[in-house]
Amino acid sequence: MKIIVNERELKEYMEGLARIVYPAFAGKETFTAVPAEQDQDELRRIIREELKAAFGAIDRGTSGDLQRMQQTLDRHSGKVTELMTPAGTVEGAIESVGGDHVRLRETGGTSVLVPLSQVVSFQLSGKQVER
Amino acid sequence: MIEELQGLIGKQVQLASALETISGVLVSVDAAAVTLRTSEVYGYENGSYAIVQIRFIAYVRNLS
Repeated sequence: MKIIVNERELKEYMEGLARIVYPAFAGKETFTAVPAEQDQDELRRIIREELKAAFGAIDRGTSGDLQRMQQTLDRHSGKVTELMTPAGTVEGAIESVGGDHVRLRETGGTSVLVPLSQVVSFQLSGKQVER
Repeated sequence: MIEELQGLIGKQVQLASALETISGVLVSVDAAAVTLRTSEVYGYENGSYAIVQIRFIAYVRNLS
């Protein structure tokens, strides 16, 4: 992301940000003095917490999906499956499931690594039953 | 995934992305990309290389 601002806009932005995270500055026109060391530490802590909350939510969203996919595939370990990826279908027995990938063993004996993030869907064959 | 790919260095692999499938010898793997030597002429140092971002790899087939 690239933001182009001039000095005045940047100053206004920082002042607005400070008013949000540190209400004691609310109502003051501009900063006339550098906040005390204790206030600076408090500001840093608040900003860190905000950033952690914001980026943590994004990370949890991504890794949570992969973790669910990993658990689902892990339950079917050893079974023959058809994985649909953006590059086509890969078919084989699930040999191992790692944190971010699944390894399939194809019928010819070749192994295929598929990143979990690239698995669009997968199909399992049902059990054969006698009628 | 990166560790698994590093284990394939020097092997003949088929690498598929949404746009194309490339075959060659896996030469190197780093955090962001893999390098495949797609051709080699005996007696010459240079071949053709394909560099693919790991995040765009759909699957890697070990052909060795």
